[in-house]
Amino acid sequence: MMDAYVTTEELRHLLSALLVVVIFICLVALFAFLIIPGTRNANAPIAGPAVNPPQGQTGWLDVTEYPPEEGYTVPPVDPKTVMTPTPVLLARGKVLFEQNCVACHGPEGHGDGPAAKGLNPPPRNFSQPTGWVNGYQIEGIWKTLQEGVKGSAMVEYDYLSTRDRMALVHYVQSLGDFSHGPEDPAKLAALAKLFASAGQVVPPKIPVSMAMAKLEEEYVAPRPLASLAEAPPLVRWSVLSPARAARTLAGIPHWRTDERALAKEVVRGAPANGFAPAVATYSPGQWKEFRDQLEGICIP
Amino acid sequence: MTEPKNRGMFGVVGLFESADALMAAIPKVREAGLGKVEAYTPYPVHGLDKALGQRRSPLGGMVMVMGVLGALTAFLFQWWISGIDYPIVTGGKAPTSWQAFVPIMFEVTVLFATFTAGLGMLFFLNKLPFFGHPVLHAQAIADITRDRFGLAIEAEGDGFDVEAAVRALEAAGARPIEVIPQPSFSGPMTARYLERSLLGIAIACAVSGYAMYWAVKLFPVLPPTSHMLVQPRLDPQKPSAFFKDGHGMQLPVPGTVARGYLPLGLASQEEAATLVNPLAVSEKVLEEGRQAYMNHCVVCHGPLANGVPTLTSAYGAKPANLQAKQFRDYPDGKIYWTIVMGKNAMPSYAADLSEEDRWAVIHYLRALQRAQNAKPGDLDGVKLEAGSGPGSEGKAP
Repeated sequence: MMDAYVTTEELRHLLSALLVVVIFICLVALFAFLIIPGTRNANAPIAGPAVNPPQGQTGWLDVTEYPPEEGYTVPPVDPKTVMTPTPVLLARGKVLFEQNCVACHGPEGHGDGPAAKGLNPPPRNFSQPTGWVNGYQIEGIWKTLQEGVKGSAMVEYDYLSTRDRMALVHYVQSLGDFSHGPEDPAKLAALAKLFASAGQVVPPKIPVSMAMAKLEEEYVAPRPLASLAEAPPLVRWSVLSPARAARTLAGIPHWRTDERALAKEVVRGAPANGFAPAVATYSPGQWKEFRDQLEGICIP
Repeated sequence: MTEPKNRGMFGVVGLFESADALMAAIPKVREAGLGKVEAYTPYPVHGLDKALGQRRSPLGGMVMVMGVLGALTAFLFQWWISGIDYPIVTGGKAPTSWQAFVPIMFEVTVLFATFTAGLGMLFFLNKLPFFGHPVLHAQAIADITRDRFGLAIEAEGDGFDVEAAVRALEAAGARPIEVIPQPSFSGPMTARYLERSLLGIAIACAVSGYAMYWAVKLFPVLPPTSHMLVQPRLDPQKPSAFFKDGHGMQLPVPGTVARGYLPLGLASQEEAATLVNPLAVSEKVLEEGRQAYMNHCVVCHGPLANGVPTLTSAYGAKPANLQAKQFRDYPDGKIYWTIVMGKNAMPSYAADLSEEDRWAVIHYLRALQRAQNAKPGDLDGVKLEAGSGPGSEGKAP
């Protein structure tokens, strides 16, 4: 069978040719592996001690997976130590100012920090007596730190401790080279009383994954809508996603009695809230009808 | 020195009436041993090659050797490249994983084998370039291509005896018998001429190619074809004279609305306060929110949403601390409005986050806020690690 294609002689020739090739390859491999050891895996990384993965400040790789911490109450502050500026308080205030305020209010408190551009209204210039929304006295600055300034980029800093916030108050006052006038004794006394009465409550901390699980657990699904298949035509045309629509309706308190509120909220959020954008074209009469039909398919 | 009498002689061809006569004559003519015996028939005759004692074609063997060589070449080449010279892990496999080499090995095997078969047959066995077989110039070819069967004794050296060959063919029964001289080719019909022509063409190509290269380089009179790079087109991030403002990139036409990015029809953040988050809180939604937060929000607001990222120190920016009570009390709608419209230094993220992602981010933000400001009951049944309790960091005295 075999000799129909190739004779023994030819086969021998072929095999010897192959043998030459194989021997050549073996020689090359020998050369590559033994005679030039450097050619073997020249780009392999240099073996060394294992590199430890970088550890965060908490020693945890995922910063959102810190160990849970119990909440606690910071003891009340002795008002005497914070009501008047002391060198220690001012030094602490300077540090906090640089951490939290410089970005907008600038290093000298002139309201010219790098992040101040584009802020409307602009940040306060602490060196001028004009424009202080809550006043430039201790009580006013405290109030600003406590509540922020509504309608501006100034947010509240209530997460700083009482002592830190008072340090900031005194430091901010020290930036203004003008007379801050006499403090109102009644307001100061109220502030002192507040400091002495209650400590600051620091809430417990849980890892983010646990918080996600808690939110999932606590989530109360809104009552679902009945099947749309048998619903009246207006509902069938207007509701894109029954689940979302149910959630939206649960978030509109008086929609059963006030179809104007229903219309306003539904149109605003469409189509993400589960209603078709076409609802924007409904007339007041249609809204009344739509409201009644929605009530009809709400499972009580 | 006398010229050999048969110089320039190709051979002697005799014609037979039938294939059977030809087959019967072949052994007799071969016995005479005067030269190479070759048959010319109008159609393939079975057993002819055997009768002529032709050796089997070595082409199969050549193809086999070259095919194996191709496979080995491809294997070694890839093995050396991806295993030794530049080890690279692809698809999680070892650098020298041979299974990945098989397709290329197959291709190179086929390449080597087909080239060997084609070129080896033409140039090695059929002896190209070879113009005009002498038999084609004989008168006998007119009969051979019709209904006669030719048998030729071809000269194999200077010792060819024409008379003996004619006699041998006559004895075998061939009629008529024709003596075929080597055709005298001249001019373009010679291999030498062709070789010279090809060489000339190659040299002309090289010379004109280099001449054109330098001509274009030194005298760039043909800008559209000198370089592909300089054809007029719009490049992103590059100037262009095509538009009035000189920019290659243009904003979409005013009023353009991308699919899935409906503009928010609300005038102020206060108006957005009553917007309802349409997504249910679920593991999937929170995970979507986490990914969107990690992709878009974390650089400024920080992984814990407390506004303490590296950006503060790098750019002097002050991103909002979303853990502040103000933001914990924000309704979802206000956060949504901020994501869509931007606020202070924060730009709009409407183009980066889809409607779904925005609402999912808000859910995830609620989880971050809950994590940092947990309810007292959240730690029930949780085993606290030793030393991780209050006072381990920054507790006020």
